[in-house]
Amino acid sequence: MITPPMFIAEILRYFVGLLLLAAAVAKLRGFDGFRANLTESFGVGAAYGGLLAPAVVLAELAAAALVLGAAVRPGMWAALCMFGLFTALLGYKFYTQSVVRCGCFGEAERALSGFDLLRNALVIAAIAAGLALGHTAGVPPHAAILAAALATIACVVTIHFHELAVLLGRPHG
Amino acid sequence: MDERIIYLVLAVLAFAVALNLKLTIAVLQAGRRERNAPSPLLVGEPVPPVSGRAVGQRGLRWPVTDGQPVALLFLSSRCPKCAGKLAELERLLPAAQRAGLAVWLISHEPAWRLRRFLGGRFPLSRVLRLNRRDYQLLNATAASPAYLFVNDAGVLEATGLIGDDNWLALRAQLSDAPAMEDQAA
Repeated sequence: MITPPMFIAEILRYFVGLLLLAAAVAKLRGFDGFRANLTESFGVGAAYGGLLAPAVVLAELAAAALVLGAAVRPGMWAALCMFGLFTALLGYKFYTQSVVRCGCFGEAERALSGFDLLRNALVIAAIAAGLALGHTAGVPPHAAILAAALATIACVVTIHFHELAVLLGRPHG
Repeated sequence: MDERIIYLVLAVLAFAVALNLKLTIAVLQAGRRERNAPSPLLVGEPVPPVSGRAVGQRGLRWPVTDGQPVALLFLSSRCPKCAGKLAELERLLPAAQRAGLAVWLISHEPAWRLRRFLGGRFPLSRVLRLNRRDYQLLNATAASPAYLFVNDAGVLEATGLIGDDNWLALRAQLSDAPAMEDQAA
């Protein structure tokens, strides 16, 4: 029998795993831009940027594999550390420079907004909730598929959080 | 009804909602990009200071128009006419260099596709890769084979398709340059 906390924990697990996967894929698709952005927005030297860019992508892929695979708890902790670190760094740059590009999910063309920081804070809260609920093995496959589907909706909303917030906040007429 | 069927039907619906949301956002973004698309550059106006990366090199070249007269060429691997222009362009390079005219082939295509397209018929060191947004600033209509002639002040002097009257005039001018130098000597 699946209980609501088990089901929510499963949704959060898929949400975090898919989100990390989406972040890694988006960076790989615009890898040159991501590497250049490390230099332009974060002042990382070109040589270090060449090492750091693939390292970030690999770390995200590894954390996604852990979360979606068998080592859920270490993967969630890794995700929490990564999102916490990235958000703190972005928040600092946003506060000190005002205009900074993130490229977190491939949106490097526009500057970072407050909505992006809010999104990251919500993701961190979701990871913390996932850790608090804990992962229980033995969720039946049909429930896992539904959890993955609901997590996919949450991922799409999260990735396009800025666009949706702007769209919904725009006055009509 | 079997509980598993209900779960699976709900899962299919949820995936469909996610797909619908993703596609709706993609359509909205495409519409916004179209509304905000850059307009073609006009002769006499300054060329936007975009940056590019030479194929096989690490550093950025900023701006592309770097204080000297420059011919920016736009060729696409998907344009049937473009491949036929490569030999002519390669022949033009030494004369342009002697005349102090920098020639850059501008593209937003991946390096591997450019290598395959150029096939050694045009030096890769004279190819600059731009991101799509910067490329559109220079070549809003994605015309090819096309050119921009930019003077040393970064102002657009001429634009058109390779092979038009302005282009032929430049080619003739570059061809005459060695002869004129010989006469002067």
